[in-house]
Parts: sequence; C-alpha cells; structure tokens
Amino acid sequence: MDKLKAFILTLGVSGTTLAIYSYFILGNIPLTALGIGALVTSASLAQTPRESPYREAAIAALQAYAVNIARLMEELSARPPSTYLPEGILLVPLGGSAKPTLRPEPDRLIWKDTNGHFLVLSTPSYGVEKSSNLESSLEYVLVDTLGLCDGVRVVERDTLILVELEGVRSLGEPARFRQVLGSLQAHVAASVAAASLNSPVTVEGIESRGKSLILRLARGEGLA
Amino acid sequence: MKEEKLWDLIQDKAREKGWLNACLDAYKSWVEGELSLEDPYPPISFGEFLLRPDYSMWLWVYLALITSTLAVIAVSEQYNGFLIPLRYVLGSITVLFLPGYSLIEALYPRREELTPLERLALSIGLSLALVPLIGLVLNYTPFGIRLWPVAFSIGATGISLAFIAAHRKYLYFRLAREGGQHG
Repeated sequence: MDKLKAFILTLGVSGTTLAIYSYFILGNIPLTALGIGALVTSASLAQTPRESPYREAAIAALQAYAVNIARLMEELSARPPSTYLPEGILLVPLGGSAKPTLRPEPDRLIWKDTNGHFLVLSTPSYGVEKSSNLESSLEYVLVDTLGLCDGVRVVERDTLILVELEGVRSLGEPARFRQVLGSLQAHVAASVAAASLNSPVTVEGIESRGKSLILRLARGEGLA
Repeated sequence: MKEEKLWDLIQDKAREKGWLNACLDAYKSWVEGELSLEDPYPPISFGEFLLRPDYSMWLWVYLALITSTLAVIAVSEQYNGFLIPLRYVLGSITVLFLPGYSLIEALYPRREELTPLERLALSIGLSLALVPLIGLVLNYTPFGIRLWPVAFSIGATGISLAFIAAHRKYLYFRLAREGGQHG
C-alpha cells in the first residue's frame, strides 16, 4: 500500500470513529463535525485522480523519442556537449565537441556552422513561459505534468545553474542517449531551463546521488 | 571577475570612507548583486550549519525571542509591575509575527523568493491565521485555552517550523556548496 492510500484510509477510519464516538458517547457537536469533515476530506482525496491519465502515454512517447534520437546520434557520431536554445531547438555536435556560434535554420536536420556540423532537434519544453521562474517551470513540467521525479531544487550562481532532481524515476534510456544527453530528466530539464531563462543552455555535468540527480547547467551567450 | 577577501575589500574602503560606510557599501553591493560572497570553509553538515551564526543567525534570534517571551511571562507573573510593558511588546511579537514568519521561512526558504516587505506582511497575516488554529486544538485538550498552554504551544509550533525552515535552507545551501566544489 502506498503512502497516500494509507493516509486516506487512516483519515477515513479516524474521521468515522471520531464522528460516531463524539455524537453517541460525548454528545459533542463540534467534534462530530470535525469527524465528518475528516471523512469528507478522505473521500475527496480518494476520488481525486493523482496524476493525469495521459502521463504514462506521455512517458512512453518520451521513451520512444529517446530511442529514435539515440539511433540517429549513433549513425551520425553525435557527441556532447549539446546546446539547448530557448526556441525549443537542440544542437548536438557531430564528430567533434564544438559549440555553435550561429543560430540554425529550424527546418534543417543538420546545420553547418563555422565551428562544425550540428544535429538540429526539437526539444520537449511544453508549456513553459519565457523568462519565468526556473524552479516553478521545472516543477510544473518534470513533477506535475510528466512525473519524471518527485521534487526540484534550483540554485543559480552567475552563469552556472545547479538543479537537484529528487526521487528520479528510472526510464532505461539507450546508452548513446545517456552518453550524449544524459538522462531523459536531464534532457527535459535543460530544455525547460533554456526556454524559461530565454538563453542558450549547455549541460556541463550530471552527478547521481542515491535517488537524486544533480545537473550542472551553464547559461550561454545568445547565438548570432 | 575580480576575487578578493572581504576583509581586504572593506579595509581598503574604510581608509577613504570610514568603517561604517565601508560596511554599508559592501552590504548594499551584496544586496544589489554586484558583490558575490563565497565562504572558503562552508559548513559540511546540518548541525554545523545550525551552529554557525553566519548561516543561522535568524534561527538563534528567533529562539532567543521565544525564550525571552516565556521568561518575561514567568517573571512578570511573580513580580507584577516593571516587566509588564516588556511583556506586552514581546507577547505581541510572539503572537502576531513569529509563528507566521517561521511558516513563511519554511515555505519560501530562498531569500530571493520574496521581498522583505512581502515577508513581513505575509508573516503577520499567517500568524493571525495560525494562532486561532492553535487555540482551536488547545480547546479540545485537557490544558484548555490558558496562558501557559497557549504560550508553550505557540512557542513549540514556531520553533518546529523554524527548524523545518532551517533544514530547507540547508538543502539549498548544500546544493550550492556542492556546485561550488565541482566548479
């Protein structure tokens, strides 16, 4: 039994006991009302869906997306570090580790820059407003909408952004995806960060600590 | 970016402007984000974080205010008279500000999340909401709504919330510290 179900059951049983005991034995109306209130609250909690019914479908789509991108990156010898742009575009260096300097044309699959070739991909930064609060945006997408982790904490220091994702769900991404983009959570978090901060973002490092993941994101300069 | 010790920075400025102005200038630069401070020896555990006044001074001031209020109530109960005005002042702060303040600190542990004025206004508002709830619970206990049960309950609630707030602040601090170590 998970924690929420146990809480609902405890609240319901306590509420019923309190209401019956207060009404028939104590004859105390406010305490009876409190018991009925607890019972109604537990019934409401039991009836309220815990997550979007489409969450599992969204996660399955993300997993398929990771597999497809991993195959593409394998074929094209993609390497880190990737650059996430606020327009919802991801640039992955092909055959080198260069950073892009020019803004790509969004309808191209491969973009040739002065620094080299880049794979152009669209990122999953759904429902994020530009220049919004980063922690709120990450919480909305990663925790509330997709349920990819249980909590988010953000600390910003100049151009470095530290993101701690608590209770990270394991999604079994392909090895190439992990090698180039980190986990799906890191990929989604970097996409959201770029959109929310309205500036390019690169993933500088990923560290796993128990069930938490610490991402080091670097805020970059805008592309020409 | 120029890096130097805070002491050297203030000492240099103090020669021109005096100590008070140098300290005020440094504080203003820090508030406005022009100056960023980094501790070379940051706390490595929650216990140390709590014991270091440069990180948890607010918590110690909070505990001091709660204990002073309880002490003043106890003394003024015995010796009616000269401590009554102080009891009014500390009692008002303890009832109308401190419970809400600790709740706000627990809900919004980062300094940049709310302005000081918002914190003040929300602290007073939340205290007014929290204290009647404490009274409601006390009403159904054998202690009832009397002076000492109310004073202890408000103090205990506030202190519990303050420790939760300190722990949440520590989690953010730990994330920043680890980022600094790897950077």
